[in-house]
Amino acid sequence: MKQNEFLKVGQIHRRKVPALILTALMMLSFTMASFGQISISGNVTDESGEPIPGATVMEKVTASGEVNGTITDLDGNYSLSVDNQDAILVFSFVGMRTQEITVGNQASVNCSFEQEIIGLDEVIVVGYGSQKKSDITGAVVSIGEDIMESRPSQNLEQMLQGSMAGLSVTHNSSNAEGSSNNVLIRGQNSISASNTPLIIMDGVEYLGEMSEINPQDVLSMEILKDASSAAIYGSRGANGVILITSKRGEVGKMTVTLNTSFGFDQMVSVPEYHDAKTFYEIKQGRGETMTPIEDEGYATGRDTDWLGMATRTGKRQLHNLSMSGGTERTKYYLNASYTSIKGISVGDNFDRYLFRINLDHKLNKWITFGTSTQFGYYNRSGRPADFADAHRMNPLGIPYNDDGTLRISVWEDGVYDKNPLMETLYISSDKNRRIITNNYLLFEFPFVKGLTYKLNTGYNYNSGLFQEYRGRNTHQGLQSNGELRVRNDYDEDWVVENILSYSREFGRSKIFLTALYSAQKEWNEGHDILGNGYPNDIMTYYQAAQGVLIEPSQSFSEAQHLSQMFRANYTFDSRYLATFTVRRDGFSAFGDDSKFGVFPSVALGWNIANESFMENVDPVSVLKLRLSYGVNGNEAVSNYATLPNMSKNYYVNYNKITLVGFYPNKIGDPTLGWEPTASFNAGLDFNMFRNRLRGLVDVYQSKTTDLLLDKSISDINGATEITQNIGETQNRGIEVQITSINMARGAFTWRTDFNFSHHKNKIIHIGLTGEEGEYIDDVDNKWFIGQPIDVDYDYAFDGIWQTDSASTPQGPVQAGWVKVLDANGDSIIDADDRIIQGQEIPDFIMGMTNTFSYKGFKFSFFLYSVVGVNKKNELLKTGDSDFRRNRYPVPYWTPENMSNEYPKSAPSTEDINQYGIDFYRNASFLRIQDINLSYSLSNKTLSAMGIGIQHLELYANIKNLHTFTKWEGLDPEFNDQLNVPQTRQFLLGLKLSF
Amino acid sequence: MKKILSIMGILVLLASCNEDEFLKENPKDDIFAENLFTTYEGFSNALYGLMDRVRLETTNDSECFSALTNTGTDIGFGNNTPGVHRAFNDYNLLNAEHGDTEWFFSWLYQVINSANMIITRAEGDINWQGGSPEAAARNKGYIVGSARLIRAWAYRHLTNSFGPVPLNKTEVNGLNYRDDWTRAPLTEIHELMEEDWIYARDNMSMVEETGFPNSAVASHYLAELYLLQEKYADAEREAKRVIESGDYKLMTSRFGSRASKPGVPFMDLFYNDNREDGNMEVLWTFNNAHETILGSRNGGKKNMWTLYASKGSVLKKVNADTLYFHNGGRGRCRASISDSAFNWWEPTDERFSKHAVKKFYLYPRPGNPSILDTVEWTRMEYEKDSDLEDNWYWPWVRKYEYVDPEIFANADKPISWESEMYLRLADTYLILAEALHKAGKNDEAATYLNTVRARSKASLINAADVDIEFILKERSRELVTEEHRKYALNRNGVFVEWTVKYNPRIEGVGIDIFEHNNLLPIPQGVIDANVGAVMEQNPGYL
Repeated sequence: MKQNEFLKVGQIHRRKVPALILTALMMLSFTMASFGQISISGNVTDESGEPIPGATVMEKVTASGEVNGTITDLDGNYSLSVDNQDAILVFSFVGMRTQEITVGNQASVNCSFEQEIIGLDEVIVVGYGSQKKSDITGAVVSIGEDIMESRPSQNLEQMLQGSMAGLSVTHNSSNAEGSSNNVLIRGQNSISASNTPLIIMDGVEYLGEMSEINPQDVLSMEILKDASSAAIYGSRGANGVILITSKRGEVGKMTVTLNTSFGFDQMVSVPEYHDAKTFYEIKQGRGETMTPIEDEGYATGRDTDWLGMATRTGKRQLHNLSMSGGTERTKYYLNASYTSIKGISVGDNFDRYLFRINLDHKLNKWITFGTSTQFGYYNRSGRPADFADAHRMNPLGIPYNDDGTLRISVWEDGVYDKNPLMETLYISSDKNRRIITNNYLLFEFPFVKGLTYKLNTGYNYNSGLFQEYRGRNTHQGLQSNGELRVRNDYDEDWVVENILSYSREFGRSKIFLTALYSAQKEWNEGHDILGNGYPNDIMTYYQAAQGVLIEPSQSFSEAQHLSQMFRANYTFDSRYLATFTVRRDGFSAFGDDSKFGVFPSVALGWNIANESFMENVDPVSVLKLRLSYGVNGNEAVSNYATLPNMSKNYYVNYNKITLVGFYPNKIGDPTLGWEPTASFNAGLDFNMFRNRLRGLVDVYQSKTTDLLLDKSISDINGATEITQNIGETQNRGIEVQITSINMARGAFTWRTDFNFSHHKNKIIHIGLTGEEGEYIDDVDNKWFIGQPIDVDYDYAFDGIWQTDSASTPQGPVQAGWVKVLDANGDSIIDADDRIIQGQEIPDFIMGMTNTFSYKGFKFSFFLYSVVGVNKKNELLKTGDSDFRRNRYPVPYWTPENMSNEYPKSAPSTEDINQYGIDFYRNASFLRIQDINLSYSLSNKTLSAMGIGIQHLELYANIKNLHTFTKWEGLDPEFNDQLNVPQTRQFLLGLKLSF
Repeated sequence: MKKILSIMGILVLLASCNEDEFLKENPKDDIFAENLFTTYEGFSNALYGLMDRVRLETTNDSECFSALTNTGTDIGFGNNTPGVHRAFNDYNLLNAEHGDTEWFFSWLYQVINSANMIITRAEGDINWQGGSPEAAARNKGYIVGSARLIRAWAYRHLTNSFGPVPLNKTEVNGLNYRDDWTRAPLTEIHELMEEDWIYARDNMSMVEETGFPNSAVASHYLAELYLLQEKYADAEREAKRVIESGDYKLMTSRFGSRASKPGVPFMDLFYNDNREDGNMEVLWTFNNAHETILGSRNGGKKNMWTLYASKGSVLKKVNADTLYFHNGGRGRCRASISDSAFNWWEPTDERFSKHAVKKFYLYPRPGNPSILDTVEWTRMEYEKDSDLEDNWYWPWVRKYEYVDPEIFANADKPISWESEMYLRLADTYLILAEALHKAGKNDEAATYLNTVRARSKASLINAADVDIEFILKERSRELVTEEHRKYALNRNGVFVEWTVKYNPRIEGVGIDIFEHNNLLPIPQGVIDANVGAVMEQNPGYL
C-alpha cells in the first residue's frame, strides 16, 4: 500500500501506513470533481481547536468509482457534495490520526484531529525490502524523527549518540568535521578485526564517511541488531547493520524547504596547567638550571598561552535548500546543501557541498525506474597545531619572532622546544569528490499478483587529492629544505543486485519472500609522492619534480563479493510470525580453501495482544514476543591477507647500482575465513495505555568463534607468526527502550524517550594453549580468559611511600615516591604484580530525551550518560620530561602535606615513579548533551500572512551544556587528554517551506 | 506458489558460471611467490633479496653476530659492552632468553626459508632465459647453486653455534608449517651441507659476479666441513682446488688505491675489498654502497671493533670530526681484542705494524694543519675487570677503518658503507694447513703456513713448529675479527680452555664460563612455540 504524504510540509516523516487511505487519492489534486447531490460542509481543527488548513477530506467509496474529495481552506473549512447519506468521509492530515465519519443526515460534518502517535504501525526498512513493524521478528530499532529534529547537527553519527539502545557512539576527540567517533552495535565481538557496523544507504553499502552524509537528506535510520535481522547481510552482518534511507518525493505540488542555521563553538574543560611563574619557581626549586629564555621570561612576566593561540572560537553554518513533489508517475526530491565549519583549533576546517537527486518514475504500469544520486565535495584543507605540544609546552617559551613570524624553537631544549603552532604553517589542501548513484528498475508483474523483481545497482566513485608543503618557515621544512607530500586516492565500487520479492495474503496467512543474487566489486588505487630538498618555497606543492629526494609509491587493492540470499517471512492471523533467512557469501579475500560461507537464521514472533484472551486487557495494545537465533559473519580478513607477499629489500652490485630483492617473511593460511558470531535474542515489544507508553526490552547472548588472531609459530618455519581463525569470545547484554507520553492536555504534551543498554563481553580463549593443552592468557596483548576484551592491565598504584626505606618490594625508595602494589604478596615487585584494574567497556549507557510542546513551541533536553568506564589519565602521570614540559598540577606529596595520592615533585633524575605507573580514573559521566527550543508559526498565522509559506520554524540549540563527572582533563569520553579540547556549541536556525 | 518458489530458487542458485574466477584475488602492487618465480630475472631478484639477508651478518646495527662468534673467546672481550653482549663477559648471563641468540637463530632460519623457496621453485616450469639451452641451464645452475651454497652456509652457522638443529629443507607455507620440529643428528645436517656445496661447486664458476658466492667459496666451505668430519684428504683436495685454481692468489705485494702511500700488502686487502680493485685474494665480498644509494647498509664490524677514542681524556678535547677524519673513523668499540692475542704477533710481523694495528692517534698541528702530530698512544693497561669496561685507550686492528668520503661531518658517526671482504684465500690456506697437520703432513702444512706468514714478513717456521696451538694462533694473527673464532676453537675442542687462558675478562670455569658455553642455548621462544614435540635444550642451559 502506498503511503500518502499529500501536502507534506517539509517535515521529516516516517513511512506510515494510515491503513485506509486510498491510493487513488493521489490523483485528487488533478481530477478534483463533484458528482453528488448532498452538499456537506464543515470545519477541521486540531486537538486544541486550531483550524487546520490543507487537510484532506475524501469520500471513501463513490458509486462511480471516481475520486471525490477536497482540501480545507485557510480557516479549516471545506465543502463537498456526496452521493447519499451512507457516504463516509475520510479526514486526513499529516501527523494526525485519520478519521472516518459517516455523513448521515448532517449537513455539517466537523472533524477534530487527534495527534497520531508515531510508531504504531510504521513501515520499517529491513534491508532488501520493508515490513510493517508488527510483522517484524528481529531486533530492529529506528531513530525517531523527533529525536533527530531535537539535535540539529551536521553530523549523523553525533545525532545518533544515545538515541537507541544497543547503539553506542563514542566521541573520541574534537574536530570540525565531528568525524572522530566510534560506532558500535552491541559492543565488540572481535579482537583484531573491525567491529564497526555495516552501513547501507538506500539499499547499497555506503563506503564514505558518515560525516559526508547530510542529515537533512535522511528520512529514516534503522539499526539491525540481532542475528536474524542482520542475517540478510551474512558475512558482513555480525557487527550489526545501520540502514539509512534518504528522502524521496511525494505526490503533490512542489514544496520548497529552506533550512539554514548559524552557530559558534567554544572550548570547555580546558585543563589549568602551571602558569609561567609557578612553572619557573617549581623548576628552580628542584635545583634545575634555568635557561636564559626562562630567566628572561620570568623576569618580564611572560606567560605564553599555547592552547589559547592554537584555538579560536569555532564557527559553523549549515544551509539546505530542497525541492520535492511529484505526480503519480514521477516523484522527485532535490536537495542542495552547504556546510561550513571552522573548528575551534586554528587550521581545522570542514566544508561540505552536497547535491542530491532522488527520482522515481513509472515507465509504464508495471515498470518503475528510480535513482538516488548524490554528488559531494568535501574540503578538509588546513592543519591544526600540535596539541600534545600545545598542552605541555614551556609557558616561558617565546612564540613569535620580532617580525611576527613563528619561531621554530621557542626555548632552549633541543627536544621539547618545537613551536606547537608550526603545523598551522603547513600549506595543506585536502579535497574529496564523491559520486554515489544508486539506480533501480522495479518490475511489478501484472500477471502474478505480489511478485516483483528489482534490479538494483549501486555505483560509488571517490577521488581524493591531498597536497601539503612544509616550507622552510617550519621545523620540518627547514630540516629537509622543504618537504612535499602529494597523494591521489581513487575508490570505485559497484554492486548489482537481483531482488525477487513475493508478498501475498492467503486468508489469514501472509507470506513475504525475498531472494537475492548480487555481485559487488571494490577497487582502490593510490599514488603518493614524498619529496624533499626543494630549491625554494615558491611553488609549494606544485614542484614535486624539483626535489633532491623524491619517493613515489603506489597502492592497489581490489575485492569482490558474490552473494545469494533467501528470506521467508510468514505471518498467521497477525499473531504468529516466523522468519527464516539464509545467505551464502563469497569474498575474494577469504583463503582459497574457504571462499564461501553460509549464514542461516531463524526468528519467531508472537503478537500476544492479538490473542483473543487479551481482548479484554484494555491497557495493552501491543505485546509481542520475539525470539531469534542465527549466525552472522565478520569478514575480518583484509585483502590479500591469505596470499603471502614477498618483502622487498635491496642489495647493490659492485658498481653501486641498486639491486631490488624479494624475500619471504610471512606465511599465509589458505583456510583463512570469516569470524562467525552465533547469537540468540529474546525481545518484548509493548504498547500500553492507549499507546502512551511504548517500549521494548531485548536480551541477547552471542558467541564469536574462529577469531582472526596471530598465532606464534616456531622461528624454524622462517616466520614467527601466522594469522589464523582461532579464539572465541562471548557477549551478552540487555537493552531497554521506552517512550512515554507523560502528559497530553490540550495543546500541551510532555514526552520522554529513554534508552538503556548494558553489555559485557569476555574472552573464552585466544587459541593459546599451555603444556597440558589448557587455554592460556596472552599477557603481552592483555587478553585474559574470562575477562573483557579491553582491560587495563598494569602495575597498580598503592599509595605513596611516606618515609625513606632501604628495603621494600620495589627496592630502596625515598619518601614521596610511588608505592607499587605487591599484588601477589611475594615481597618482590615484578611482572607478576601487574593486575587488571578495570575495563574500558562501560557498565551501561543511557540516553534520555524529554520533549515539551505547547502549540508551536517545542522544548527538549537530552541527557546522555556512560557509567563504569576506567581509563588512564595521562594528565596525572609523572614522567621524566616534567618541567622540560609543562604539566597538569596535582596536589604533590610534600613533607608538609604527606598525601597518599600523588608523588612528590622531583627532578627527572629522581626515579619517583619507578614502574611508570599510570593513574587510572573513573571516566563515568552524565552530560546535558542537547538543549533545543523551537517555535513554529501556526498554520493559521501562516495562512493569514498569505504569502504561501506553509511552515516557518525558528530553533535554537545548545550542545554539551554541562558534563557531570569526576574526571579531570578534557573530557571523560575522549581517548586522548592532550588533544583538541571539548566544545560547547550554540546554534540558531530557521526552517521555512513554501 | 510453487512457481514462485522455483523462480526464486533458480535465482538464488543461479551460481554464475564462474564464481571462482570472479572471486580470485589478483594483487598488483605487491610481489608474490607465484608471480616472482617464473623467470630467471625473478629468481635473480630473489637471490638479491637473499644476499641482502645474508650480509646482515656484518651489517646488522646491533653488531650481534660478530659478538656471538668472537666476543667472549680467547681473542675478544666486551669493552663498551651493550647489555646483550654482557653475557660474553660473564657467561652466567647467557640463557635461553638471550636476545641476540634469538635473533641469530631466527634470522638463519629466515635465510634458510628464503633459500628453500628458490631451490624448491626452481624445479617448476621456469623461463631460465639466456637465449640457448646451455645458457639457460647455466642460469639455473647459478641460481640454485647460490641458494644451496647459502642454505648450507646458514646450517654451518647453526650447527657450529647450536649443535644439532632442526633440518628444514623445503619451502614452508600455510599448510605445511610445523610445530613439531625435532633436532636432526649432526651427520644428517652435514650430509645436506655437503650435497649443497657440492652442487654449488659443480654448477657455478670459480669466479662469479662480485658480491655473490661462487664455486671457490663452495670448495672452501667443503674443505672446512671435511676438516671437521676428519676427512682430511677430502679437505685437502677441496682447499687445493681453490688455491691451485689460478683464479685466486695471496696478495704479496702492494696494490690498489693506497699502493703509493706508506703501508703493507696485508692492509691493502682491506682498503681494496673487491676483485675489481686488484684484490685477487678475496673469495666472497658483501657489497655495500654509500648511504645515499638504495641498498646501503651500515657496516657493523667497524662499530664492533673500532674504538670510541674521543671518549678518552685527551682526545675528548680535540675536534671529534677532525680527529676521526685522520684516525680511521669512529666506532662504538663493542668489543676489543685481548691483550694475549695482541701478544701473539712478533714485533716484525706487518700484521702488527702501525699500519695494521692502531698504536697512536694523529691530529693536525694547530697553525700548520699539514703536519700531523701524535697526540695520544693506545695502551693495554688494566688491573681489574672494570678497567676493561669502557676502556677508551685499547689498541685495535685497522681492518675496518672508514671515513665518509663525501661528508666531513660524518667522520664522528659510527658508520661504514664500505663493502666487506667476507672470505679470503688466506683462510683457505689455514684450513688446508690444519687438514694437512691433522693428516700428519706437517712439512706441507708448514709450507702453506709460511706462504701466509711470508707475505707479512713474519719469521718462517719448520714442520716441527706446527701444532694445533700454532695453527689456531696463526689463524688469529691472520684473521682476527674476520674468522668465526669460536667455530675454530670448538673444532679443536679448546673453546673454554683457551677463553679462560687468554680472555682478560673471563676468570675461570665454574665462575664466569662453563663447559656447556661452547654452544649457545636454543631460544626459549623456539622451544615454547614447538608445542607438537619436545625440543631439547642444549645441556647446561635451563
